[in-house]
Amino acid sequence: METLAFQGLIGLSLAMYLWLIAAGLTIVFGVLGILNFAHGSLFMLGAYFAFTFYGLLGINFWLSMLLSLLGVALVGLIMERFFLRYIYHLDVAYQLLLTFGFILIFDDAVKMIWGGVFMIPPMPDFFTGAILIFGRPFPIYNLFIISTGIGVAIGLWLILERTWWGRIIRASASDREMASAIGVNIPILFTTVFMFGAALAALGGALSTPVRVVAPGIGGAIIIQAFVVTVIGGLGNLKGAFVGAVIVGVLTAYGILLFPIFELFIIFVVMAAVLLLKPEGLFGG
Amino acid sequence: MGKSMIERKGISLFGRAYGKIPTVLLLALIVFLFLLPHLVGKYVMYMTMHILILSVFSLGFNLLLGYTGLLSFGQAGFYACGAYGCAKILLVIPSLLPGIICGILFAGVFALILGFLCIRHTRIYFAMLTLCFGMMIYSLAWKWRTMTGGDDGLIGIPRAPLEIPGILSIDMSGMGNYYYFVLIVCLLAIMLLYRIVNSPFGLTLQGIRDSESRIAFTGISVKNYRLIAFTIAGLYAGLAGALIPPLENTVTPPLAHWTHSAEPVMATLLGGIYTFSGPIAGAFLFYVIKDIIVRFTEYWLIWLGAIVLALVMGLPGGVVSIFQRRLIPWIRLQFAKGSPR
Amino acid sequence: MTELLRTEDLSKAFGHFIAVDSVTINFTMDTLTSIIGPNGAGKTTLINLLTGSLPMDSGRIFFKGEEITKIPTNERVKRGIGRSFQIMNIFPMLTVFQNVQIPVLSLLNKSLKFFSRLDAHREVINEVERISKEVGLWDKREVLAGELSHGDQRLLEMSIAIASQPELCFLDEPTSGMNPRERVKILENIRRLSKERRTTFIIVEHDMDVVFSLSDRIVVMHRGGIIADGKPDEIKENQNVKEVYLGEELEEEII
Repeated sequence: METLAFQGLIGLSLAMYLWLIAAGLTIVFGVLGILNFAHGSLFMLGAYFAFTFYGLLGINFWLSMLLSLLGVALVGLIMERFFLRYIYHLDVAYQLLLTFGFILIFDDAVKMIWGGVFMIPPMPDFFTGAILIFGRPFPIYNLFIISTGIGVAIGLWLILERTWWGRIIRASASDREMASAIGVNIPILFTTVFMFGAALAALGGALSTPVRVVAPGIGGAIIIQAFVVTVIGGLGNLKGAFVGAVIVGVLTAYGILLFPIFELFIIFVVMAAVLLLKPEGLFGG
Repeated sequence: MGKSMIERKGISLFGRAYGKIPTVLLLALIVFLFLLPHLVGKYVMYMTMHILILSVFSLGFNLLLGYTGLLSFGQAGFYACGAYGCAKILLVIPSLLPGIICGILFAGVFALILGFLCIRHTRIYFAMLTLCFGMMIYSLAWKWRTMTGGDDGLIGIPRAPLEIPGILSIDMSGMGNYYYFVLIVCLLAIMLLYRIVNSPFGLTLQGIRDSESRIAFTGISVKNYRLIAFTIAGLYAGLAGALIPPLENTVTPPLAHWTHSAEPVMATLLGGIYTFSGPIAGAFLFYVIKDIIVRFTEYWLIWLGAIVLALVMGLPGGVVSIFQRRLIPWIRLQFAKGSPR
Repeated sequence: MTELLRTEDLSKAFGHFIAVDSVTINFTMDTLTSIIGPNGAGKTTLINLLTGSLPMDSGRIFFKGEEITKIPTNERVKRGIGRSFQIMNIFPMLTVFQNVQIPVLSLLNKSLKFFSRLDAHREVINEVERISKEVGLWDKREVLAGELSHGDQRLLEMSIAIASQPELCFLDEPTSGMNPRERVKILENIRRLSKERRTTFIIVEHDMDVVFSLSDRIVVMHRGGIIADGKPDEIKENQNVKEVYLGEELEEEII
């Protein structure tokens, strides 16, 4: 019993990375209508930036986090302003292909700059160590991840529900023409939303550096998991993305424990079942 | 006239408006392909086989995208079914035909079953569902060690001879004979698909692509037709996959990975989705681009990515559309100038 | 009068909005019927239910005496029900010829021919030629449907509908957005087809000139129900109908 509960906690910390990346994916899909294949690569860039600032240059941990968010947001700005903006009217196949092109570019660019090897960055001192939960040591850093994920969820909720910018986002997610009619500057809105989504992915990536390996190709791996999460929660549904992330994270953690061979398979079975039985997602309506 | 005449329904080999020039070029190309082993070394032959295989893979994929309007992101799953199916047979029965045929059928059965589920959706949900099933097949190939060899894959697959007892027996151990086998099988498959897309069935598929609700009111069961198209695409992916194990002597899980599903997507969109020959041109470009760039830098994907961006941004109709719109009229013009009045 | 289509207590609601409210109606052969009513009266929803485009909440539908309530659209088409759509619905990337070819292939059970060439089916070609000439689109047979003028697209859509040789054909606002010349052309075609092909048309239309010049019978819908049903002269004098249309105009003025 305690093992199960403990594994649940591990799953929860796994879920928070997924949540951060799925949140950006969901907001971008909801507002811009684009399913960004390269969103996982933004996660990867966030990890590499954080690794560089903190691990290589020795900049303060918090400042490194901030710098990587800004750096990836800048990459997002370039992606949206110079590329995506021109293909909103094209078929979804072209949108997927264009963003796939970015995956290829980012993956190889990362290899060129940082080399193709795995890197395990250092952990800041104040996060090392563990506390005892259910009689087992649970890393403090994982607690930090869980609280950050929940904090971002609350923050996003506040932004969307309580701020002017959030209202505009919700308005244009439900009706683009309407939003345009009431005087929203759609191009600027799209750019900022995309940058915001990119920054969320980068946050996930940056936070992952002290505990997960940094390597080219981690973007392509995590984007599929993020797709699973967003599909389970319902495409474009932020609340669903959070619950979907928790489901996938916890399921993965238990899967590793109980069915180590078919852990990945089970995740896709869940995804297929949701798509077939309730394609609007578990929380869509 | 101009535009509508040239872009006329797009899907024909090059567009009927151009008379005999494409036919002559096409025959020349086929003759060239048959002469190829006498002209070039093993490397070019090897590349050409991969181009042919990717062409077949992409043509099947484009039956779904360009003709039926469905974007599948899981075709690599069926490709892997073909490859693993063929490999398993060849490891037991060292004879080429049973291996290839079983690979194709194995993929076809999978496509029929999964297609039954996938065709309930269209657009992005269809893409997600196919991606999901493709990845399921990948995770099985990766983790079901006893059956698939896990991440090592299946190794030591023989390039078995082509045998029909009592009729013929052709040794395939050299590259040359297997090249002819791949060439002939792929050309037959391409011709067959050309027949299919220009048949009543092919036209009906295009009707489904253009308007699902309208086609239901011509008495067509949209789901059944989609399922047939999906199964054909699966069979073609299976054929492409089945040709791989005798060539490479090994099959590994990445064959089923979604990044491999992206290859026919890329080839097709590079070449053009509304032309029959688009996927073939795209497959050719894909390997040529790769081959050229790899000579200069190991980071060829960055350039491939850049080319993908440039083509999507600047040429969403694909390369073949440029060929139709600019090059062939230009050639005709030159011919017209040269001919005496 | 032979009965063609009959409904029993047909209902459909979207959330709390009752679009079609237990409609029981009977359409007979060779009676050109128009369904009229203000916007949101439930006309298009009724057609969608009858043709199977929308699932119904309750009620039953019979076609030529057989129940078709649970039968999907494409099967209903095979039994002889056709339609055109309110929003243009053609095959825009195919030529005019191919647009008509698709339903003819389906009608003659040739759609599942995988390996034969399209021009190998002579009888299909002839039939497409006949229809295109009849409606006056033969000269434009090689033009992409998406590049036709609005009026020609409407005409093409009707051609697709009648190419399935339906006994009963619904036309949803066949003249909307047309100029007067195009309108005359399509009305001529409707009249001629009902005579020559013995296709029974049921038309949803807003243009009262069209309705009164064409119809043998007029059905008036309001808030999901039928409030009047009769010959054009009777409908003109009907007090209910006047109130509905007058009321509607008054409301619009107030707004």
